[in-house]
Amino acid sequence: MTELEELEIFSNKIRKTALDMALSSGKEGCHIGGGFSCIEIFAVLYGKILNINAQDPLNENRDRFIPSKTHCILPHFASLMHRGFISAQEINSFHENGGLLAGHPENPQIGLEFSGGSLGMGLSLGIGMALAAKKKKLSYKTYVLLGDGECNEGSVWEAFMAAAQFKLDNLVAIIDYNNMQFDGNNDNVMSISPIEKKLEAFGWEVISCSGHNINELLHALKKEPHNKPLAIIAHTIKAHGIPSLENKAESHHASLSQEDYNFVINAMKEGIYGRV
Amino acid sequence: MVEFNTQNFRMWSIMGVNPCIWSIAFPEIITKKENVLALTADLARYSGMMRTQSKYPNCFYNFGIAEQNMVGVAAGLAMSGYQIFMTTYAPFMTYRCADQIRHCLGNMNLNVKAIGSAAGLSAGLSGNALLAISDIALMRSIPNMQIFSPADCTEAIKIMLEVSKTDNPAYIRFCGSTNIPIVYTQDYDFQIGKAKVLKEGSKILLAATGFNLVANALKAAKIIEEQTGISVAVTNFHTIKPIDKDYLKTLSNFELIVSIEEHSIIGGLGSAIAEFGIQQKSFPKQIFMGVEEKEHILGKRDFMLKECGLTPEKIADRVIKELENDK
Repeated sequence: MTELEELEIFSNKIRKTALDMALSSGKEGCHIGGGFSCIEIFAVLYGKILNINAQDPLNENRDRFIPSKTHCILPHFASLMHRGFISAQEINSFHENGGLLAGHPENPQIGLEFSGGSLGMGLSLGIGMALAAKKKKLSYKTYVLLGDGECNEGSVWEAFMAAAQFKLDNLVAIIDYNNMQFDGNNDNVMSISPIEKKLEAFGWEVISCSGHNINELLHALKKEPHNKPLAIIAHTIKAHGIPSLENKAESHHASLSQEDYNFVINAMKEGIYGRV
Repeated sequence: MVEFNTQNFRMWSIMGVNPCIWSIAFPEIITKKENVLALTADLARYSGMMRTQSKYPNCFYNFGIAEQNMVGVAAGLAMSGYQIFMTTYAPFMTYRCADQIRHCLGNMNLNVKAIGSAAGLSAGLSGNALLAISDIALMRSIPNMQIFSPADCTEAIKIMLEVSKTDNPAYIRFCGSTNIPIVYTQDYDFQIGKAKVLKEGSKILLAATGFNLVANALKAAKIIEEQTGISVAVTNFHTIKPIDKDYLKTLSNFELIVSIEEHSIIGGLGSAIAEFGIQQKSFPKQIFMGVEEKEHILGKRDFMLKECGLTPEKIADRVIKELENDK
C-alpha cells in the first residue's frame, strides 16, 4: 500500500469517528462546518507528519500541534483517538458535563497542547514553542492550524510579523481557508485576500494547495524553507462532503441529520466521498 | 549576590526602580537559575533592560509594539519550560492584553511574570490613555494571578527575587520610576502574601500600597496622631493577591481602616480588604482613598497624587474629618 493510500484510509477513519461524534451530539449539534473542512489536514498531520507518541506524550522533542482555530475538535479528537491518546469511550465526553474532553481542554498528557476558543492566540503560542526549540537546540517542529476568519484578529498579524522576524523555520502555520466565517463569506464580512501575497510580504514562505487533496497537503507539509516560517494556505470547503451543510455558514455549529450521516458513510464506502 | 543593607537601599532609591529590576534583581535571578528569559515590547531602553541585555544577550527578546503577541509567546515559552519576566507600560500590559493574560497565563497557570511600569498616575501628563488606575482590579479577577505593589525600590528587588521562586503567573506594578522615597531603612523579612506592619497603633489603620503612598501613609499617621492624639497603625500591603487574610482577621478591634492606593477605589486593595471584612461578624468601618471615578485634571504624578487627595496632609485631613463626622 502506498503512503497516499494509507493516508486515504486514515482520513476515512477520522471522518467516520467525526461523523459518529457529530451524530451523538444530537439536536444540540457541534462545530461541524470547520471540523469537516480540515479532515484531510488532520489525516496528513496525525497520519504522517507529526512526531508524537501516545506512550511518551510529554517527550520534550515531540512535535507541537496548536489548534488555534479550535472549531476542529471533531477531527482533532478523532485523530487523537486513532493515534492512541484517548479511548473510544473518552471521545464521547466532548459534549458531556465534566467530561475529559469538555470545553476545549489543555492537557498534553492526552495530546492537547492548548486550550483554544479565544481566537488569535495560537500562533503566538506556537512562536514561543518554536523559539524554545531553537534555544534548546531541539529538532521538533511546531504546527499551528488557523481559521481564515480567525485571521481577522490583529494579534494574528502581530504573530505573522514576529515569526518572520525571528526566522522561525521550525514553525508551520496552516490556514484552513474555507472562505466562510460565522456571518457568511469572508469576502463579504472581512476579507483576508490575497492572503498568499500578504504573507509573502510579511516574510513567510507560502504554499497554496487544496486542503482536501492529501497528496498536495503532504507535499506542502514536507517543504522545509530556510530561515523563514512556512505558511500553507489550504483551500477547503466548509462542512465538506455533507450534502445539506456543505459550503454554508450555518454549518459552523449544526446538528447532523441521519440522512447526511448515511450519505457520507455510503460515499466513503463507494470511494466517491466529497462529490456531493 | 544582592546585598540588602542601608547603603544599598539609599543607592537603589537614587537609581530608581527600572535599574533595580533589570540591573540588580534580574541578573541575580539569571545567574542563580536556568531557563529564565526577559521579554519586552519596544521598551528595552525605557525599562533600563538594554544595559543588562548587552551582558546577557541570549536572555532577552524584543517583540516590538505588539504586546498581545508578546504575552502569547511568553505563554508558549513558559509551556516549554522557561520562566518569563515581561514588561511594558502597565496600561498596555493589562488592558490591551487582558484576554491573553486571562487565558494563556491565568487559566493555564503559567510561569510568566508581567511587570507593568508607569502604573497608576505615573504618566498623567501624557493623557488618560496612559493612566493605569484599574489594572489591579482587572488582574485580581484573573485566576491564579498573584499581584504585587512594592513600597520602595528595595521591596521591588525583594519581590522580583521572591516571585522568581514561584511557578504562578504574577503581575507586578510600579508607580513612578525615580525619586522613590525609602520606606525600609533596615533589612527585613519579605514574604509573599504577608502584609508588613510598619507602625504599630490601636485605633486607626492606614492600609497602604505602592511607591510614595506607603511613605505618605507613615507621614499621615504622624500628623493624625499629633492633631488628635489617636493611635494610628500603618501596614504595607505589598501583596494584593493573595490578600493577607490572617492579618486581616486580627483587625476587629480597630475603629477605622483607611485603604490608600494609587488606583481606582473600585477593585483594588480597598476592595480586597472590604471583600474580606464584609464577611466577618465584626470588622471596622472602612474608607477608600484612591482615584475616584471622575474627570481628572491631568498632570505630572505628584500633581495628580495631590489632586486625588493622596498626599500625607490630605490623607490626614480626610481621616480627621471622618472621625469628626462619626462623633
